[in-house]
Amino acid sequence: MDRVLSLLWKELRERRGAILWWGLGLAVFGYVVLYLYPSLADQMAAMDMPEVYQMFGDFSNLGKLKNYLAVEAFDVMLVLTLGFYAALTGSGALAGEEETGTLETLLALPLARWHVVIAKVAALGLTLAALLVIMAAGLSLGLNHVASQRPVEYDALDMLWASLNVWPILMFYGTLGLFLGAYLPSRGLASSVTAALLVVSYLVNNLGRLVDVVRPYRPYSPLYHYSSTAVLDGRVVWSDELLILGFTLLWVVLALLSFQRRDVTVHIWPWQRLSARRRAAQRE
Amino acid sequence: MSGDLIETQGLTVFYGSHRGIRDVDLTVRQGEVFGFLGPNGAGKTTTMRVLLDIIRPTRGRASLFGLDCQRDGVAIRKRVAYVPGELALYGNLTGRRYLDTLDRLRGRRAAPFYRRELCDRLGLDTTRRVAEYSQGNKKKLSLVAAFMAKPDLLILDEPTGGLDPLVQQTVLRMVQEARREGRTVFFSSHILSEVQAISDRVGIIREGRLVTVERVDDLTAQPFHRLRLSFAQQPPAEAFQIAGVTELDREGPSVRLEVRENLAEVMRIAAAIGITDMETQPVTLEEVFLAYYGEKGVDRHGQGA
Repeated sequence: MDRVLSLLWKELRERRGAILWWGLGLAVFGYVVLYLYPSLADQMAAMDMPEVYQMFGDFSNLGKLKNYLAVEAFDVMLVLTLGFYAALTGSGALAGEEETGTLETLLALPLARWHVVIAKVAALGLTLAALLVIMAAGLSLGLNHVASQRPVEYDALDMLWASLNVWPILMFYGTLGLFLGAYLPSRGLASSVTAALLVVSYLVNNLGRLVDVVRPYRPYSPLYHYSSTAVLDGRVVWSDELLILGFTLLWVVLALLSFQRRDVTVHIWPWQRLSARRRAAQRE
Repeated sequence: MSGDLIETQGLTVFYGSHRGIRDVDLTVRQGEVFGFLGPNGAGKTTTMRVLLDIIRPTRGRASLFGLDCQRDGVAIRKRVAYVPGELALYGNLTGRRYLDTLDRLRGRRAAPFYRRELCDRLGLDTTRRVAEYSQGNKKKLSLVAAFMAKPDLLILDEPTGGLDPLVQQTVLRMVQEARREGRTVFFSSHILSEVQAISDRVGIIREGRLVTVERVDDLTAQPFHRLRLSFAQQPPAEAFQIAGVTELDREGPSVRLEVRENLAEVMRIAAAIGITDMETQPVTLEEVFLAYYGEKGVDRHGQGA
């Protein structure tokens, strides 16, 4: 266990820069979004674009703080931007290290492969949580500015919970990337597939609110099971949370199994390895 | 456990349809320095990676310390240190932090004095970031990381590649010291003179197959003589055109011969011409290796491979 913790510590140290700069960017963004809210609220309330409201959620009024936060912060910014970050970081966690060559050094140490996967998952989870907490800090500062101009129904704790509410869906894509990185021959392929799945699920979920042909497929989009506003309403849809966390766990298990069988440094498809084994067995 | 620290049986690796290694049967004894020779792509690195369970064999088995490389990988790697041929280190760490990190991941702290001594011997500054290191310094860092753990087995893939000649000598001394301490070294190198200088035995791998494993002395003890004969005047061109004798080159009144048979006849002719000096030249490992890898694939006994 000590070695897993040492590996986790190493992973977190390596991500210090990313946490700092991404966190700073997110915090500034969160602050600016809410800083601008008082001057935009009336304009947005006056906008009459039901399709736009519908596309971003079941909103009737973007001038309301909850809806404004959902669209400007927790939907596009956090889910898409941090979703890409999670997908790229997840797919690079094993496959990236394999391509740079450092994974060979790591696996020559007395570490079991599951140690490496667990440390990578934990590092990904803690990194995402840290970014969300920093984002929440920026939002809280912005909320203070809003509160100085008009009454608000939320406080810093609400911003923290609403930010952390994104964590399961980010972990879903991060661990999916991790699994594909352990399964597919290259990092490029793993990150491309993960990012493409994120985009497709975003489009299916958001366009499905408007387009009848797409609507039946919405429940198959993971983002359908993420609500950016539920926490602000004081409720958690546990069935959705458990579904997302269940799939996250499934990706971790598949990553463990795939990495356990992987010939590290050899960038081939799993079935190529199996067919080589079959041919070798036939020769015997 | 027998005296064999590394043992492979029928070890075969296929990368999809491409060959890695095929039917490699290899034993490395405890406490010996084993040199593993072969050109790029012959299968040296693949063999090392299978021993460390980085790559899984398609067929066959490999064991270290009597333990299965795949099943008992963690227990094995507690006793092994590895220097990869293609170095990729964590560039954002300083050299010191890199060594600390490896110490922690091994779960065993190396003696600080010994670690410092190794850095001093190799002339390594550990205060700089690894990303700023030259290839040579990265190699030194990797060597310090391997040696500082005082493992029972050192697996070194091209350990002196990229190092200047003085540091190369230091590394070779470190290997010899490790052997004196009873540790085993399994290493590959392209520099055949250094393999000859420090190895007890060598294995030559060609196109994925282990073609020979012999003691260095046996490998270079050839059933022929290599002679340089000097005369008062230039000997006739056809003087040594006799069966079993090959004239390698001539320079003024000296000729260099490879004599496989009819040595007495060569001596008689040399005496008749008026020999002034004679020198026997040892066969180097390089010549043996080149014989295995000759353009025509001719082995050292003159037979087609």
